[in-house]
Order: sequence, then structure tokens, then C-alpha cells
Amino acid sequence: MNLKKVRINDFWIYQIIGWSLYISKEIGQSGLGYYFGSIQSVLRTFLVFGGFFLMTVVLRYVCRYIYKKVASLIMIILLVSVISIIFSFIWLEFRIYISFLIQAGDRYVDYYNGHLDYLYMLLQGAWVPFVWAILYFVIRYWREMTSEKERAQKAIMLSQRSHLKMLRYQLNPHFLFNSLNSILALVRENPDQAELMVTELSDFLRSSLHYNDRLSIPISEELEITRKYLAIEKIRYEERLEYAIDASKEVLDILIPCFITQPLVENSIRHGLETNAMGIKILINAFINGDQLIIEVANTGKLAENWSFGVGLQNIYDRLENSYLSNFGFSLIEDKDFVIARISIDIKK
Amino acid sequence: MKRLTALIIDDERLARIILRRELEIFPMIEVIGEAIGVNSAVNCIKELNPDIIFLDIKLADGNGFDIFDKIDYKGKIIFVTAYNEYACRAFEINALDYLLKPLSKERLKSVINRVFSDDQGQYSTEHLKVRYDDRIMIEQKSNFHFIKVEDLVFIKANREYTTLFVNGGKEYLLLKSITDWQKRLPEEHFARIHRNSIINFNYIERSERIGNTAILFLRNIAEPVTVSKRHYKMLKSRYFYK
Repeated sequence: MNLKKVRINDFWIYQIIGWSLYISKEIGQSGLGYYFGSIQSVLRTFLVFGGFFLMTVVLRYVCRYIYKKVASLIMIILLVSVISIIFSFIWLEFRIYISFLIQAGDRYVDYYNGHLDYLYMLLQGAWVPFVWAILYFVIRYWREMTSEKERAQKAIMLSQRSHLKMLRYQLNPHFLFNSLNSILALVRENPDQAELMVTELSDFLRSSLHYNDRLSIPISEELEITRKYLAIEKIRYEERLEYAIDASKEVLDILIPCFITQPLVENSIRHGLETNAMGIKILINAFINGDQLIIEVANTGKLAENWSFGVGLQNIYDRLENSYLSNFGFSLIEDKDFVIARISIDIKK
Repeated sequence: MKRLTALIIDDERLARIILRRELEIFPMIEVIGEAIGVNSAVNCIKELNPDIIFLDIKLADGNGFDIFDKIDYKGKIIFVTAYNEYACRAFEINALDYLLKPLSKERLKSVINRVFSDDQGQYSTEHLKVRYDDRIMIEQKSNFHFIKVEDLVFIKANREYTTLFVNGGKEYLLLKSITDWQKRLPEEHFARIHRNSIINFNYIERSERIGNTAILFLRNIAEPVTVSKRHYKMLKSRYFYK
């Protein structure tokens, strides 16, 4: 909204500057007396330039329409030329009519009566709307290029910020220190499992650091990171955590923003175990439904009565919005004994 | 030396195993039970009445602090936690201690040593400010209470005692001077407004000016509190015209 407002103001600033220059030039050529010598000429001057000004206001809407609908440069120039001649014709007739009205001894009238050099007049008059329209296109294009650049910079900034946030997630100190504490216990109790946990934990941390450099990854890799995370948590929570991951073959290569499912799983474990201390089951599904890619993370349990999108879920939502604009859905629902976080992404075939 | 009994409360089996194993090194500590959550902990404490409890704050069915709302316990509490090591502070530090996960033998040793030593001077935290998102432990006749600092509304002095007004309506009487409170509470949220009162700004509902001083109405507190002349100037310059 703000941007639009600025543009409208700019339009009028350009208008005023442009017209001031043009009028100065005209006065410089023909002298002040010609325009302001008598009451009649002042009246005519105002009417002529007023008409001119009004014309460009109409021209603006025509140009705006062309700018949006026509992509070819040659077509634009052709159209602008034709329109300029039409406007010039209208303007010329308008001026002649005014001159007749005011009877100020206009040279145009003499021309018109004398040599019928109408075509010359027409072309001369077309110059003004033509230059005006070309300037409109050039300025508008230049402005849009600049704002495009600004938008690109903003996108980079957003993704960098989400990277920082992601890093904070993955290096969740609770997860890290609790895992290390489990390893400490396993070293003597079950050395094989301690070894396994050290490698799984290292892999998980490495992939989270590595994938921070990338905006999106194939679903297969995303699910592998999530599986590692679950394997570590499984060692910690033992029989209290059961999980299954199921992805149909056709989705494996589809690219999605990385670290979308792992925070959902983290959320599931935290809230699931809170509502059901005895243990939870987590099911992850990825499949295609019509022209939508669906990713679901479901856990046994119930939604808390006054639940809301926490920081973690909001972050996922923001990143999805950044990647897919409005072509996605993200919801948290309760279905039978499960709480399901569902991401749906429109995919074009 | 008298042998002390201990109870381990943690919802992760591996975390209980490592703590039990490390405690075997200390012959004067006897682990007499394990609990996995708030409810089982309440039962164990009732039944076993341990001298020490090792407590993880985050439990399967709730929060470690909840235990003390359900049962009277006046032994020693040692928090065993992964990260928020300062989630709770107390004036009387000898009732409380902390261990961090992953568990370190060295730190466990010094914690156990402190349990048996009478001299707490070295480990005094009197000078430590509490943070707004902390809890503070207060001791009552038969029990400990863990109060969120953000729930403190108003502290009123009464000779050498202070009364704590907590959001939700509870009041606690403590043998603690108002100056002690002033030293420990974070200044961004609390201010001394009178010789005998400290308030939490976040609970001010409105103020009424009377001459060159004022009275403040606090949320859920029936009686308005008076700001003394001396403190009014400070209050005005620091908080009202930010």
C-alpha cells in the first residue's frame, strides 16, 4: 500500500517538472508576450496548457494499460505513435476551436486557413504525447527494476534470518545435552548403542550445518535427516517412542525447504509426551494427492485445549510462505487418536 | 557421618542409570528409590521421605516444581537439568543445588561435598540478581514453594518480615528484609516506591496523583499502594516518561 502511494506522488512530481520545462521552453521560443500579452492570450494559454495537462492524465491510463498488456518493444512504439497522432488530432481540433472562440489572431488558424498544412501540424502536435509516453515507459521500467532489486535483497535477508533461526533449532541445547547424557549412560550399559548414538548424533549435526547452505533439498534427504533425529530420540526415550516413516516413490526427488519436517517431529515428541507420559507413536507420511504434495507428521495424543501456533510452527509457516507464496496449506488437526500437522504444497505437472 | 537417603526423579531411564551409577562412588549417599514423573515422585517422597532428591525439571507428566505444590518436603533439592541451570534461585542456597547434564563426576563430587559441609559462605548467591523469567524458592513452615518472579506483584515490609503478594491471590510471610528483596529483584521490572513497599510495574493498572506524590492501583490487589515523595521523583523520571 505504501509503495503505491509513493508512486502516485512521484508521478505528479515528474509531471510538474516535465511541464515546467516544456512551458519554459515554449516561452523562451515565442516570448512572454505571445502567451501573456493580453487577457485573451492569457486565457488561451491556460486553456491550451490545461488541455495539454488533461490529455496526459488520460494518456497515463492508456499507457498503464499498454504497459501491462503489451510486452514487445516494437509494438509499444507503434501503439504509442498511433495514439500520439490521435491525441494530436484531438488537441489540434481543440486548439483551433478555442482560437476561433477567443479570436486572438492565432497563427495556427492562419496556417489552417492558408496552407492547410494540417499534416505538418498533426505531426508536430504528436511529438508532445509521444515523448510524454516514452518517458512514462522509461521511468516506470526503471522504477520497477529498482524495486525488483530491493525485493531480491529482501528475500536474501529473509532466508538468511531463517537460516540463523534454523541453526538455533538444530543446535537445540536441550536435545544436544540430553543426548550426550544418554551416551554417557550407554557407554557402560550398552557400548554398541553408545557407538551408534555418537555416529547418528554427529551425522545429524553435520547435516544440519551442511544444509544451512542450501535453501531446498529433495524429500528423500529431508526424511533421512528426520529419521536420524528420531533414531537419537528413540534411544533416549526407549519404548516410550515408536515411529514409522512412509514416503511414496514419486515424491522422493521433489525439492522442499530444508528442515521443515524435523521441527514438526520435535514438536510432536514434546507435546505428545506431555499429554501421554506412557508413550507415543509418530507417523510421517509423504505422498501425492491430486496436484498436491502432502507431508504429514502425526502423533498419538490430543491437542491442548488452548493450543496455538508456537514460534517453531510459525517459523515453518513463514518459510513455506516465502517459498510458495499462497500455493500451500499448513494445518494442525485432531483426527481420531492422532494430532496431525499437515503441509500441502501445490505442484504443477 | 550419617548416611543420607536419596531419591532420583527423571523421566529418562538412561539419565537415572547414569546418576545412580555415579552416586555409587559415594558411600554416604544411599539411593532408595527412583521416580519418573510428578505423580510417582509424590508417592515416593510420601513413602520414603528421602534426605535428598535429584530432580529433573522437565518430567514426563509435568514440571518438577509441581511436586512441591502437592506434598510437603523439607529436605535438600538438587536440580539435574540440561540447560536452564538458573531456572530457580533461592535465598537459602543450602536447600538447593544444581547439576548439569551431561553429568560430570567432578561437579557431582563438589555438590555432594556441599551437602555434607556446613559452611555455605563460599557458595552464597546473595549477591546474585534473579532474572525475570526465573523462579525463586521460598521456605515456609513445612514446605518449599517455587514462585515465578514474574508472578510477584507487590512486596510489603512489616518490621523484619516481608509479605509477598503473588498473582493469583496467594500471600507468603517471610523473615527477609525489604532491602534484601530490592537487591535481588531485577530493576527493569521492580521498584521500591516506599520505605515499606516494592512493586512490579507490569501489574500497575492506574495511578492517581495526589499533590507531589501518587497512589498506585495494582491488578488484583484491593488496597492501593502509596508512593513516597522521595521515590515518586525517581519513579517519574525513570518509568513514566520513557
